[in-house]
Amino acid sequence: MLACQVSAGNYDPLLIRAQAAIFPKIVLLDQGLARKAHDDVITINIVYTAQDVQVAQQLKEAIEEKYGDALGGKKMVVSISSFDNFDHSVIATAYIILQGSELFFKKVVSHAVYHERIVFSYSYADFEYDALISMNVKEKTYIYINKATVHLYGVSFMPAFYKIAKIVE
Amino acid sequence: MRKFSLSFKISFSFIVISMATLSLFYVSFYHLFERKMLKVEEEKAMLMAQTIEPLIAMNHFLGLHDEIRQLAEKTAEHEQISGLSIEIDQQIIWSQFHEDGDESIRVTYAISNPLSAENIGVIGIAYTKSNLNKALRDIHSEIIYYLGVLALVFIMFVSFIRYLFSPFEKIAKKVKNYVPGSIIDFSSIRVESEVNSIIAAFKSMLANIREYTVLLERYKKSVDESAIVVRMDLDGYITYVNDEFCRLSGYSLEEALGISVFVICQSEVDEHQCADILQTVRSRKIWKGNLQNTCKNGGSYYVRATVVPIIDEQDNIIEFISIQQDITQVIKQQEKIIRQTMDPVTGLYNRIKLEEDIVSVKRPKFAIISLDDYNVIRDYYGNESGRKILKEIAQIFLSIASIENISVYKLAGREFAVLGNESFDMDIFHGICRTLLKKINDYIIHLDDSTLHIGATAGLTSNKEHFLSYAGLALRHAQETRHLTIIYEEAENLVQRFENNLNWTKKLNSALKDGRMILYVQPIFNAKDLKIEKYECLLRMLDEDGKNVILPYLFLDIAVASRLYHQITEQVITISFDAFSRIPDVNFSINLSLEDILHRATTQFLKDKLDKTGLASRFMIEIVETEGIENFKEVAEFVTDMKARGCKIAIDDFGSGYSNFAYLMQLDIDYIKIDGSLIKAIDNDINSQIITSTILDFSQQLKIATVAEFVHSQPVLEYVQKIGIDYVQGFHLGAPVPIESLLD
Repeated sequence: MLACQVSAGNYDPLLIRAQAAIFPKIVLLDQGLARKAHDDVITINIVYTAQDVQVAQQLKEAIEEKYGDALGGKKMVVSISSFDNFDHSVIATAYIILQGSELFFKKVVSHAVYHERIVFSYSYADFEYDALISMNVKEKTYIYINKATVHLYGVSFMPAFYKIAKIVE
Repeated sequence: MRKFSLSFKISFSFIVISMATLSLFYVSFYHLFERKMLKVEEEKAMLMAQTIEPLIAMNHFLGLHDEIRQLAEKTAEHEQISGLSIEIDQQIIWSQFHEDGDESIRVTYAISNPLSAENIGVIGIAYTKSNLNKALRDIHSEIIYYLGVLALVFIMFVSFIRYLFSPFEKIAKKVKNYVPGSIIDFSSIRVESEVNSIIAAFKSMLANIREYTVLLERYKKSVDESAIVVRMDLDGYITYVNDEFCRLSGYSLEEALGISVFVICQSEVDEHQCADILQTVRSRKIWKGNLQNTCKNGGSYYVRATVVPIIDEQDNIIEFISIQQDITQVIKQQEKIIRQTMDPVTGLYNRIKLEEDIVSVKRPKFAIISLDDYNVIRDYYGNESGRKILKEIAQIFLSIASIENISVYKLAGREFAVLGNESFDMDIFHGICRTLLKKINDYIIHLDDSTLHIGATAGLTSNKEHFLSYAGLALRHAQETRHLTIIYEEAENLVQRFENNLNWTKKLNSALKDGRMILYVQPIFNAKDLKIEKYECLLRMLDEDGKNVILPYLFLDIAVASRLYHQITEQVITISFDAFSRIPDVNFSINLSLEDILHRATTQFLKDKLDKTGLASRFMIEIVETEGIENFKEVAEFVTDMKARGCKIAIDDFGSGYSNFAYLMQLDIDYIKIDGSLIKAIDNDINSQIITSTILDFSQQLKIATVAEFVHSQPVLEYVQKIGIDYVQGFHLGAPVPIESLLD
């Protein structure tokens, strides 16, 4: 059903489910998580363009289905925001950006970079818009880290994470 | 170990020590290396686990289980890993183990949750030991290689050691065959500083050996020259003798070799002694003693022998050596000395030994014991009987001497002597002498069919300086006073007599100096026609005033004791010969005692006087008869000499007690002067008549003329004329008158 539902955009439902399972855990690997989770609440904000609202909603549900309202012993809140309504005053623990324009990305990325928040992108092709982490599922699961933006974000992960992820130039 | 050479021992020790050290090092190193390698391999396995654990943990955390399996598969492909297992949340994610010829190292490593570090699983890795085993095999190969090299080094070392020691072996061979006197040539031996030192030491030792050999040769020569040397084997057979042995025994060296020492033993006693010698030296002791050995010709010689067992380095007796000194002369001299100091009849020591012995006694007690009736018995029964008596009496002396610790001696004639040391006081010594006298008096002598007693009298003294004269005085005093014993020091009148003797000695000396010794002459008549045939010269002494004439019986004994006697005799000879040389055709005689005859100076003086005056044919010697049997030879020689010169010989005072017919038969005498004691009462006394008749009969058979002395009366004269006495002398016919009266 998810495959049918995400078919509105160019989204792989399997990938969406995989990202729903893995991206929250990567959030847990952030060594600065303690100060980024206000009141011990992990907030994951899914940002989408208008046509991908269904996808965002499906991703949100998939995450919530996977983890419920808790992650790594903390309360977790998954929210969705369209680019148009992106509120700079609200600071999430991490951001998942679905497909969008460069402007669209830079708006969220600059906000995240400023607050040293992780930005996941649906496709690692969006690394050109300074997203930090992405993933893909082919014959195996690949996690990508944007080497060009690691220092930009000021985010550091557990060392083992770097060993399993593919560093993209 | 002694049979192995020093080089072998050094090499063997070096190899053993080296092998032991190397083995120790090898074992220690091997085990250390193995442990270290094992640890390294374990660490490598652990490192591998540590490497994959975060990836596994992270993949598991992210739910990437495929990634875990891929990682496991890729890890298991590692050539050193023979097995891998991954267990998470009690589920085995991966498990794959291969069979491995080499044993594997198994390590496990916990998988932790990346966030909570909670243990969620375990990684098991089986890490092959192939690398370890290969390394160990490589080490073995290296060690075998180096052992081979080491063996070569050892062989070279052993060869080098043998090379270094080879000079010592050469030295040993040369020294082993060394014979004292030979020379060892060390020039062919390789010389190094140590070898040179040893060669120098050997040369020095050889020089010392040569020196000692020469010294030993000299000693041997000295011993051979100065002593008899006999070497024997263990059974007593002679293996070597020196020239001195051959010279003394008469055996040649060849004859002596192989002879048993028992053969040269002189007697059965010496054979026992030889057995004792062998027993002693076989028990490793030295034997010393005197031996009498037999010469080849049956004679013998005496040796002082020291027999020594010769013992080799193994403490075995290999032979015996006897070093002997020829003491034949010493033994014979000792025998001669013993004969000289021993009375031949009794076997007791004589006066010579007495005078030697008394020197060593500080306060002697001394006695002369005289057998009272000995002379009479001897004269009657003969000399042989006299000797028998003396032997038996000597046994009495010896029996007392064995009990009382006294020494006994035989003096001249019938006198014995007893010497006691300072342990006796005079009372005890006197008691011993009285015991002796009692035993002698009680002793029964068996002669022919008769049994006799022989009395004895003793004179004692404790004076050391004049022991003979004092004891003699005491003895004579005892005989005169008919006491059994008299102690010189306790006899007051004897002391006075001695003092009297001293006065007489002074008087004699003075008379001799002043020419107051004069001669009287008494005529001797032919019994048939009463014509004067000759004159007997009689000694007289004038007193200091020259008025009173002193008869000789008052001073003659003192003269003998004071050693003035010979001067007096010479005075008599001088005066008589001077007088009768002026009176032609008158015969004369003088009296000579045994002391005179034995006194060489006196006899020579007489001979000179005879030669000078030519009065021998008119001269007669009257020998005062004594008991001097032991001096018979000298007396006989004197008589022969005087007769050869033409002198006549008479025995004076014959029958006065010492007369010995056998003695007379052997002396070529011309006259017997029968003692006055027999003549003075011959006209009445039947005993005197019998004895005189016997003497006369004896004399006539021997064609010896007889002279009767002491013819003091006509009846006596007639009696002696009647029985056939040839000559008479006495106051009845003519009293002594001064010799000067003849000159007038």
